[in-house]
Amino acid sequence: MCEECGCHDNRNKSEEIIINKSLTQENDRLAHMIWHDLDDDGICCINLLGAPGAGKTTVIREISKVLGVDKIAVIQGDLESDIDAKLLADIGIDSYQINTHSGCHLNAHMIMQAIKAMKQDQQLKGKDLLIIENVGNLVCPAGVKLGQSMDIVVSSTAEGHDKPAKYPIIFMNAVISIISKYDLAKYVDFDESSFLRDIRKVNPNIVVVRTSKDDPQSYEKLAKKIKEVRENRKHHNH
Amino acid sequence: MLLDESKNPISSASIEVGCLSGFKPEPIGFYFDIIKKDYNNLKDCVLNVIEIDGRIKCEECGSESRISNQPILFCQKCESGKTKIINGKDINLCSIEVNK
Repeated sequence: MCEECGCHDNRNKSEEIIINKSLTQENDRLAHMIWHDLDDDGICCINLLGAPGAGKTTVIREISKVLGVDKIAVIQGDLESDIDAKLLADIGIDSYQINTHSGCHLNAHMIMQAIKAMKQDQQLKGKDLLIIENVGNLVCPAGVKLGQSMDIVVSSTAEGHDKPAKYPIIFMNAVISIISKYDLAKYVDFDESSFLRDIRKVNPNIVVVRTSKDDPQSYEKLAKKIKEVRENRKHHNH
Repeated sequence: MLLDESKNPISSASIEVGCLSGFKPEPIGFYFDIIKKDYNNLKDCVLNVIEIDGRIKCEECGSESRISNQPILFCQKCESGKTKIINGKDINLCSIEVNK
């Protein structure tokens, strides 16, 4: 019943308010600010993704040797521990460890806080690349903007060739796919043609690079590809 | 805004979830029904979550293709891989209905 006149006309009981706003807009706004901030300082940001144990930290260590450890800073995302930060510190790479505890991925607010702390400690001075090693996970980090210029996904041969078929979204947004532990391919029945077929279904233009820990040349190729992609995307409208 | 206790009760809210957004309607509905109990103006709110298909546009032939379950990004007309996602990556709050 209408509270004003006592009639039973319910037409004006409620009002629809049109909003049409993205539920990720706050994260996206912060990510955009991060990207601008880093770009002003001439720093390219890479979001490095992959399952736990794919070899993300090894990739960072090895390409740092090629590109120069003093040119790279790293933000590490793990649920717990500073194991990876120590592995990087061992070879002189500046890094900031984020422990998400039960969190399954990093967000732009976490990255903003990390960058603020790194700047205070002069860890970004003179750096060329900021690599965000995301929490090991092929599901949740996909599509979450962190201010990166590119996503790179690491998949080890030991994980099997079916990862692009099973977890397509994470590969859809990436510009480089690294097949790590490539020297193990023959021992773990890694079907490379199947991997390539599936990854190109979701990302026809992705650049695929193969790396092996005992093959320094494979990391030289990877570093070269990153440079090329960075150059091609320099004027990319973020 | 939805959680502002000073506002009138919200009877319904509509969310569109793109099939390439990384979000799925079912868990959103599940968790919304849990948290809404803690807010007076949301406790009777019905959440309508609509999943939106993705769309890609081919940069070679210009045709648009629909994507639903599997994110296969080849043009369905000319099979080119040079496509751009034009819809389906977002999650949007479209509207709310507020009791007067």
